[in-house]
This record gives sequence, structure tokens and C-alpha cells, in this order.
Amino acid sequence: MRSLWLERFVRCFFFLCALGAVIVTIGIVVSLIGEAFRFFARVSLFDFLFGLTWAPRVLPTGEAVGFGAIPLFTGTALITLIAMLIAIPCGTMVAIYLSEYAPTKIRQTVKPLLEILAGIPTLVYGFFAATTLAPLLRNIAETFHLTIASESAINAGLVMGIMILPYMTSLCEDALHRLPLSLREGSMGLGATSSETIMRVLLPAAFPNLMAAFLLSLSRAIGETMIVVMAAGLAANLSFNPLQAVTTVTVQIVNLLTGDQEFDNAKTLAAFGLGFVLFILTLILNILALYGIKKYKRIHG
Amino acid sequence: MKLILKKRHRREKWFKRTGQMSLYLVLFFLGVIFMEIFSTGYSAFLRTEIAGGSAPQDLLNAFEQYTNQKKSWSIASDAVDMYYKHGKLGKLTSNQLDTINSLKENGQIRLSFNWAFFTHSDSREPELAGIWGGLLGSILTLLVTFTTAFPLGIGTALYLEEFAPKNRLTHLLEANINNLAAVPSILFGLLGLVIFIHFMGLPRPSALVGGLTLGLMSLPVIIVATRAALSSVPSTLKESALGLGATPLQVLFHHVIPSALPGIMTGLILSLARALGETAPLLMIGMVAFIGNPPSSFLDPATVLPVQIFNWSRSPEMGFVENTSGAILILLLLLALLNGIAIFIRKKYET
Repeated sequence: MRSLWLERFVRCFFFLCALGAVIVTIGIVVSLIGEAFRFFARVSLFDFLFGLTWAPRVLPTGEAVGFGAIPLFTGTALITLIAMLIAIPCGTMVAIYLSEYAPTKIRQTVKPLLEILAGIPTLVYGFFAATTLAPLLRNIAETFHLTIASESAINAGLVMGIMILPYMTSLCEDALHRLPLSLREGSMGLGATSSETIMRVLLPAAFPNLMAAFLLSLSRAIGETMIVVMAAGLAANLSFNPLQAVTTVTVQIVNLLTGDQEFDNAKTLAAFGLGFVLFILTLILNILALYGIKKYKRIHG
Repeated sequence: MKLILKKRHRREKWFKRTGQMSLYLVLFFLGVIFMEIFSTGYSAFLRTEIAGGSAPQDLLNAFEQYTNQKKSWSIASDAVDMYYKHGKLGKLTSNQLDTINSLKENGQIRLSFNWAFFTHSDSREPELAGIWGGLLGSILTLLVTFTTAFPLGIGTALYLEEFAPKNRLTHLLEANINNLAAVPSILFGLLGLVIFIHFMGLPRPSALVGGLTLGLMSLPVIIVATRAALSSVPSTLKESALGLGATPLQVLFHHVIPSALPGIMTGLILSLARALGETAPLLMIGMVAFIGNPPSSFLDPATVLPVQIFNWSRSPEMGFVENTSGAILILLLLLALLNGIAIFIRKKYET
């Protein structure tokens, strides 16, 4: 009898733990939505999502102006685009080499190394971008008679691309390596070379999982904070020129909240509005990566 | 026919070579980053000292000028330090340069190991600043994370993996946790700000709030890792124990958990490593403030190592650049240590 009682108790305890995890999730959504709604009571959602100037301030009349977030969205998009332009081709090529060509020894050393590198704090990359790469890029730009901002989009984007590489490579490599051997054998038995096998058989077969890897990396790049805080700057320029300074959603969240401000200020609340947008965006990407892919596979796989 | 075959083989060779080159390129770039940080950082572990009594006041650190006249070696100022280590002139006048050079000829200036870098807390002067405050803050913060997130995370994973009925609600919960593990860390900072500071009114830049916030962040990661470890326990193990008459609870505590323990431990250590390097959520809850004393309790104003690195990286003084790199080296060393332990556990219990 005693053990039955104990069983019930333990089960109850574990259930409470799981309940805690649920509360955390609900807490995130509720606190973000709650604060975001308080923000949207002062600044209309339309002005926030489609306004072209970001210069948040509260007028003496109590009116909040300059909360147009488009420059932040374009800045985030630009930096993420640069990062992805580096990470996707490099990451896929490295993954292909590791999975299909590399001798076992190299694969077995590089794979754990990549996993460790993926855990390096992004602060380290940000510091590199700010102190080493920025002056280097300025020198390169000067030799081509270009003007480059000291905190440019290309600087942050390049380093973010390198930062995301180990993570993406590791995911892509998993996707390729998990494919059944019969696919390779069948293709090669028909006389295809390794590269033809990879391009025409393996990559199409691994496509859903590769897409998932890209989407997860994309979501990580969009939510990345320290690199852009240290290397991308605060100037909210609406520009697609990678040599100019742009700012991102995460930089502005940090900027709005690292002062000593009271809570009811429209500027502090704006951080929650931005956080809400960031949450929705990464949520969509994650759901696509984790579940949309499964659906695709069920139809085509 | 032969021509086509040749072309195909050439293409094959090119393809393979491109893959190889991109691997080396990636490793090269990552190597450059770490070499760069190492080469600027190692000099933070050294400091310039001037023989007592021989140096004019303006070459010494401001604090030393007034106190330690009798010491045999005194700490040189930031400007002298930079000049002696790296030949950077900075704001030194030509008079001061002559003095330094004559000190050098007489052997009255030297480099010694910078213990202060490890024992001091943050300071406005780079030659006196150390990482102890940040390190202690990190330890206290991680202790809070450890005690809150671990039991909760492991409990949730056990419930989901062993007890939960397979229904819609459980499925929703699983989806939720998987999503949460990929949410940007900065959002957990916003959550911590609202819940712990705004709602519960805990003291602002304290290790307690930082640890709880990082705990929220690590929770989904721990759950995912623990579940992976639990589900890799072969079901034959459970079935044979049940067949021999063990109660489900005995099966769980005597067989499933022990055999999943290495996997669980590895997951925990790696999530701890991630929490150690995290900066962004802690900026949200106000840990970015300058704190000159090491925290003596969980409620004291504290900072953590990565945040201190971030603060140093924004300081204009030249001396802080090498301090930043030096502190990054320490941080990387700690992370390597944690990763090493995780790999050791995985290797040892793999078979």
C-alpha cells in the first residue's frame, strides 16, 4: 500500500514540474502581450509596424512619436541576409565534405569541434567584429575609395555569418549523414560520380531537413543580440547599403532598456512591442522548421 | 564518350576540392578570431611595475602615488603600461618618455604576473581592474540557475517521458517546450524583467534575479536534453525489470535513471556552459551597471563575467582592450573546461 501512495506522490511531483514549465511558457506570452498591449495603447499598431522613422521620444504633451519600426526591420533583414549569404553556401559545402568525402578521422575530430564552437558566447564574436574587423574593413574600403561607417552592416553581418556557421554545418551534416546508405549505393551503381550522387540524389532527399537547418539558423541570426549590439550601432537608417550603419530590433531592445527608466514610459514599453514582434517572427520560423518540414515529408517523402 | 567521362571526373574533382577548401576556410577564419583574441589578451596577465622610490609620481598609478611609497615595486600607470608592453605612445610627454627609457636602462622597470587581474573587482582604471567580482557573480548566478532549473527541468522531462498520457495536451506541451528552446535569449531577459523585478520586486542587479532569468532560459534546453537521454534507454531494460516484479517506481529509480544519468549530466553541463556565456538577458535586468565590489550575498548588486567583458569592451581606455581579451580568454577556458567534462563523461560511459 505504501508504495502505491508513494507512486502517486512521485507522479504528482513530476506533474507539478511539468506544470511549472507550462507556466513559464504562458508567462512569456502573457508578459510580452500584456506589456506590448500597453505600448500599443499609446502608439498605434499601424504606426509602429509601418512607420518609416525610428527616433523614439515622448513629447511634453504626453504624445509618443517616432516609433516607426520599419528601419529596424530592414536593418535586421540586411544583416541577417549578409550572414546567410555566407553561412548557407559555406555551411552546406562543409557539411557535404564532412559527411560524404572526409576520412572518418577528420569527421570524428571536426564534428565535436563544431559543436563546441557553436557554444562559444556570441560576445566573443562581437568583440572581434568591433575591435579587429571594423578597422580592417575601413582600410580595405579606403583602398577602393569607398566610405564605410565605423559600425557597418557588413561588419556585423560577416561576423554573424561566421558565428552561425558551426551551428548550421552541424545541423546540415546530421541531415546528410542520416540518409540511408542504399540511396548512395543505388546512385553509384548506376554509374554516377560522388558529386552527381550528392547533387541529384542526396541533396533532394535531404532537402526538408536542410531547410529546417536553414530556418533554425535564420531564427538564431534574427534573435542574435551581442554581435549587433557591439558591431552594428544605434543609427536607425532606412538603407540597404551594407557599408552604412544600420540598427536591429535586438539592439534597440537593449538600448531602450539599459537606461534607468521607469516602467510606464512609452520608450520602455516599446521594447516589449519589439520583443513581441521578435517572438512572433522566431516562433513562425521555429514552427516551420520543426513541424512544417514533417508535413512536407509526409507528402513527398 | 571519353571526353564526357573526363569532364565528369574533372567536375567531381572540383566539387570535392571546393568542399575541402570551404572546410579549411571556415576553420581558418575561426582560428584567426581566436588567435587574435589570444594575442591581444595574454598581455592582460602581465603588468608593468616600477622600482619603488625611483619613479616620478606621474608615471605611477593614481592609487599607488599616495599610498605605497615604501613598497619595493609599484604599479605603473595605464599609459606607461601600454608603452612598455606595446610601444604605444598614448598621452605620454617626451619628458616622461625619457624617464621611462632611463628606467629601462637601469632595470628599474619590469613586467610581473598580474595577480590583481584575478583578485580585484572592476575598476575605472585598467591597471587595477580585475575579474574577481564578475567571476564570483557568475558563480552565484549559476548556483541559483542550478538549484532552480535542474530539478524543475529533470522533473518535467521525467513526467513527459515516463508518466504523461499520450493525449493532445501532452503533445501541445511538447511542442511548446521544443519551441521555447529556440526562442532568442533576449526575450527571456524581458520575461525576467517583468516577472522578477516589476512583478515580484526583487532587488535589481542581483545574482538571484540573474540566476532565475538564466534558469528560465535553460529550462527548455535541459528538458530537451534530459528527454533525449531518457528515451535512449532501451525498452528491454524496463520490460525485464517489470517482468521480474519491480514496481514502475523501482524501474524508474533503479534502472532508467541510472542508465540515463551520463546523458542527463552531459546535457546539464552543456546548458550550464550556455548560461555561463550568456549576456543579453542579463543586460535586460540591469546587470550592466558598474559594480566595484564583489557580491557577498545573492541579493547584493552583482555583475557576471560576460557582462563585465561587455562593459570593458565599451571603455575608451587602451588598457581595457587587452583586459577585455584577457577576460574572454578566462571565459573560454572555463567553457572549454565544462565542455571537456561533458566529453569525458560521454566517452567514459558510452560503451
